[in-house]
Amino acid sequence: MTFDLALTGSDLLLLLPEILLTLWLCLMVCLDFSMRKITHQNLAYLGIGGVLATLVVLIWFDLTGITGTLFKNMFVLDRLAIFFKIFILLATALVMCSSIDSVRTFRFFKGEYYFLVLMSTLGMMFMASAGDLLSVFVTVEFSTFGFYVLVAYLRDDLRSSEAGLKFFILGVFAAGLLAYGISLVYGETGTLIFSDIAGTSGSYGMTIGFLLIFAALGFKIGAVPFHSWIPDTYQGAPTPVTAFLSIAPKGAAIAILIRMFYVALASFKPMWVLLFIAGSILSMTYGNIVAIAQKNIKRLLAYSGIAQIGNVLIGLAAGTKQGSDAILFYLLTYLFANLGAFAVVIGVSHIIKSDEIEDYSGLNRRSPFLAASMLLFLLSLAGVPPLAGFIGKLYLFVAAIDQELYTLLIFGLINIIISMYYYLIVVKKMYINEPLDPSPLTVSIPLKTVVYVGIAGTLLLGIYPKPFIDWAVSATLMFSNIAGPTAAAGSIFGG
Amino acid sequence: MSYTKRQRGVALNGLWGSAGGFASKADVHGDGNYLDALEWLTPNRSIMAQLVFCYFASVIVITAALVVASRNPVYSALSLLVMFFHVAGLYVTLHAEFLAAIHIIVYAGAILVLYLFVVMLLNVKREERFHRQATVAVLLGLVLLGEAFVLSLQKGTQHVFFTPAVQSDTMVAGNTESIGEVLYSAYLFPFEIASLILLVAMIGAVILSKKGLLEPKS
Amino acid sequence: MSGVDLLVEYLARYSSILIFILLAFGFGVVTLLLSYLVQPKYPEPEKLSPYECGSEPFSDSRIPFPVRYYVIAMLFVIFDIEVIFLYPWAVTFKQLGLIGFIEMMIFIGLFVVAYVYAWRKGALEWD
Repeated sequence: MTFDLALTGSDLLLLLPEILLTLWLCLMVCLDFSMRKITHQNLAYLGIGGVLATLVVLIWFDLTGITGTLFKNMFVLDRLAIFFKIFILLATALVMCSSIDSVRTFRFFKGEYYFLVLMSTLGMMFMASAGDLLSVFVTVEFSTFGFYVLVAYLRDDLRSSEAGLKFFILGVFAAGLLAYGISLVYGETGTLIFSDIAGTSGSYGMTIGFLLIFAALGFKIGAVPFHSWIPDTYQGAPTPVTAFLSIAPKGAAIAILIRMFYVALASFKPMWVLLFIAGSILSMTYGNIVAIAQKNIKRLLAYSGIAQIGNVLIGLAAGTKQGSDAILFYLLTYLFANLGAFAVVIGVSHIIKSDEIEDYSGLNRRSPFLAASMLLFLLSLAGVPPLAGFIGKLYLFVAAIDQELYTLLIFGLINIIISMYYYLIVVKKMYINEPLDPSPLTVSIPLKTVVYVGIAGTLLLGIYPKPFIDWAVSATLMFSNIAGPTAAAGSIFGG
Repeated sequence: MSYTKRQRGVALNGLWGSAGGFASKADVHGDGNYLDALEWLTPNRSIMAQLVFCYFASVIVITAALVVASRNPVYSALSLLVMFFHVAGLYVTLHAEFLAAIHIIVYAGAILVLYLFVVMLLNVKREERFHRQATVAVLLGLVLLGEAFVLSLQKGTQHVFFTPAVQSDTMVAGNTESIGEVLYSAYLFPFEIASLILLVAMIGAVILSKKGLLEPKS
Repeated sequence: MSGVDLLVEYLARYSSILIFILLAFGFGVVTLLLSYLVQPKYPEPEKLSPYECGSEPFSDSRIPFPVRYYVIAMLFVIFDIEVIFLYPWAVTFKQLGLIGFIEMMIFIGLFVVAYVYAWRKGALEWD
């Protein structure tokens, strides 16, 4: 056996974003333990600087079209990976920005919070590039480890510990399923690389293996029936962690799902489409119906997140290039609306020390800015025109119509109405009910920045979506030849 | 892997001959070849391989069941220990000696110690441990059993569960070397990710377990 | 091919390990057996009752461990896994050449960061 590892400078260039972020992370760790005077705010700004620097590198990659594969397809840097990396880094920057207030109230280990966020980010960036099942397993574990600690960060808080424990036990169970599924697939096909699996014929073992892998990734995205950890974990975790958990890992896991099903299993499309149709209908319906009964805003957003993932799965159920375009665009709209909503929750709970929806009564009197932005984000999540969520949902539905998935479409439309109901309950509380305590709420500057970015994104993606749709369309160009009629429906947006 | 009779004789002689020379009783032809008698007594190679496998597999199944069925958590941990050793034995039959060794070092040596610490840390009493999950467990077990049957039946007889002693590079070059050669070239990516995982594990362990903030010494 | 072939193969390859295992088991069994056979046995109820410094025991002897042991054990596992990765690297060091060296330095470098972090944060101290 000969030693072969031909890594050249141009190959290493593909890893530049990850290498940069790793070095930045090590720098932060070293600064934290060597300089006594460095405050956690400074570390936060340093971390955000690192994320932005990495973002710049990735945007440069995207503009100049630098792509390639490394380590025999284990690491794939294509436009899709770049899209998801930018998505994850955007989420990270916003989450770190909105964490600063909360971290100040932590008793111990303030600086470490930012390391862990950055490490999970790094893991998710690798997830977006995973081109074979072995790297899927390793990177998923890497990113989840950071989250296990982050969720249980408030050690004195019983709820946080409970959340951490539930997340950990179920997460490890999902990891076991993932490993088992991967071993079955390897046993049947003799390969782990997606593009090689594509050339093999199906078998029972492979079917069971991929079902198990789907279950494990379904756990990460919180799709029904793998959602049972979501409400308690979201409620117990520190709110910025909840915000992070509700967007970034879902994006990364969706990246793996798209790559796995579109590349490795393209020839089995009629089978897995049914899987996604069922997952989509279950997630949307369950999430929205249970959300109605929630009294806690974090639990409400948790169930709404389950429903939103149901929407995302519509795109996979369509199984076309258009479907994946729609997923990418929809995730962008979800990023801004969801993180914006969580930023408002962080701002409110920081002052009134409560996450109960009852305590949002009369928020409009106390802080018109927060109330108005919350209104905007909730309407976008519900899908009201002309906001971003509307275009995103429309795009997904068009992809479904294109594949004649009318049942799915009907469920989607019914669910929009249900979701409107519980989002409007919150709006009613904020605008019509009387406040219990009329003192005005002040919001810190970093948090305000996040809310402004959220508003800007939600409005921009709603009113002028063309460049973003173009971006999503170009990110999935490699799926142009996937089975199914390619419709010209994308052109209705001018894309 | 075919040994000459001479080699086999030497191997056996080295082991048994030095232990007292009783093996000479099996030397029916009187030509220094003790093996014919044994050959006559033992089944053929693939059945022997199956027997070895069955021994390890059945001990693994029994001890694994004991882990969840024992009422005393320390007994559970000890059953787990026995199980780890037999899993390592399975690795040995597949000529994955390195894996067998690290399985014992990491699982039996380190992870199990952690389990025992947890048992002693929490001072788990016997009665408190049992939950009513037998139904779920049986159901899940049946599903997995069914799956195993489907997988084993679909390919009929040509499906080999256990390949005895596959002759390959791994045997000639030494198992650790061949692992090293692929781990640091073809599988470099997961390897470096593993170091990041260890970094996050270390920081996470400190955060979750240390009481309070210890300021670094000036 | 006879089944003996397989056994001989195993014996030829692993006979030293087998001897070690037998010795380890044998030592345990022989020691226990010997002490049981050799000891003088005069059982009395008073002698058989558990005691602690001459008086009745105050509490259960299985007291909970302090959590510190657990921290140390946890860090030990991490170090243990780290060392495991060094074995295959060490035996193939020559074939891997400079790139292999750099790979391992990156690996160890990341780990040194973690180690110094744990050290400076006092995770290795006993208090």
